[in-house]
Amino acid sequence: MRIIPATFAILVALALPNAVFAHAFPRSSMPPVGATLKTAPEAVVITFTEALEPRFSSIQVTDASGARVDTGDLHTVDGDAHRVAVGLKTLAAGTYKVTWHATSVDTHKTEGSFTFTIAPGP
Amino acid sequence: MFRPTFAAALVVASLGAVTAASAHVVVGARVFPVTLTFDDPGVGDEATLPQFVLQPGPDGQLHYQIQWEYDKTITPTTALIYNQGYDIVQQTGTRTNTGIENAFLTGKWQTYTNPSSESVISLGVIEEFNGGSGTQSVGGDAYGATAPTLYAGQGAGFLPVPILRPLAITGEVNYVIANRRLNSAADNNGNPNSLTAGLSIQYSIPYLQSQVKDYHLPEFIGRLIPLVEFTWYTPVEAPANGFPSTLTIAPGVIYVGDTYQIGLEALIPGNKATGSHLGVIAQLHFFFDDLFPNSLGKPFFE
Repeated sequence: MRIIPATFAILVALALPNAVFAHAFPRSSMPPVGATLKTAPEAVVITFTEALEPRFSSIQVTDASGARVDTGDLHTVDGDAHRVAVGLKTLAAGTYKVTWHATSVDTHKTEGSFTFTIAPGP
Repeated sequence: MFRPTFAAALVVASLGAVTAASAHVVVGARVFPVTLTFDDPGVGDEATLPQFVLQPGPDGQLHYQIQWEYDKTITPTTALIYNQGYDIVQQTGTRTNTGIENAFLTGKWQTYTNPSSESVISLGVIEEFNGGSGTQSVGGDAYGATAPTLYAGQGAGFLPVPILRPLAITGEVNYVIANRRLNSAADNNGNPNSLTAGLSIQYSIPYLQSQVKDYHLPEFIGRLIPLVEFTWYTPVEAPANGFPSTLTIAPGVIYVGDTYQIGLEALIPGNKATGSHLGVIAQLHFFFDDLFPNSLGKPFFE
């Protein structure tokens, strides 16, 4: 059938991961999504499924009142465009919202948010 | 000429109508995957290669379908979609019939997209071609139809209960205008105008992991979207005898990869007219916008 060569061509393309890009979604983060921490983190690091264009991507962290608590210095980690980080000001106990906008190297755009919580000290 | 029973024909017709196109859509952090029994609410560059359907009918009939589809964006929010299939119909006591399904062409416009609210709405027109594009012995309508269609998707990321936020619903409503209207008195082999609709309720594990709480699930599980799909057909004009309303319920799961997805669902008749036997549908679908972002996977006009 005519679809078999087409399917074969796509499977060959799948076998060439360096030629493939896709929408970027968080694979993991530090702090983890929804985590409750005992100590305040110094940065938020998100590892994406695809390499990002940092100039067209952002991570903002806000407190419960909506005030920015990140330092705005989005950068890649160890030169790996899959991992981007933003520094944090000194955080008190409370719940914080991380809002990310990602533009992958093939220009696909995604966005989302998650929270983490810093537990009150003993 | 072999002619399937009305109920079986309607199951085929309703499935055929509502599977006229499929495309996945990304709205912010929400991925609306390609649903298997009806279209999802966005446009994209992608292809189904292939989809298999086994639908047992009344009287021991077995209906196998091998379907394919190609979606091509014209602009970032508009697309043309072609789909068709090859059918094998086996029935005890009669010879096996095989043939090509009618060809469908869909023009679709993603009219509203709101990433922050995870909402998407599209409008489309589905044309089922007649004139020999399909084989009548496997249920192909001799005259075709035209179906103005509304598509919608809504994620539940706004809900106050975090564990419910991975939920989403998608839907499609078609008003199917028969190219030859049924005239019972003249026995003209036409069809009544009809309504078909699809509804899916999905729970996205990827969304749970990346937006709500990271449970450190194995990656395979973290890419699954369990869902249930409902497809429904009803004629909108008399006479309804011979054209009963049908309902199919399709629970299953979709694995969403970076550049493809694999879906598997059961097909459960939802009323007596739909049948009494369990069927199955399986699909392999490729995202060309992710596979070939600089060639096949981008719109003609950006």
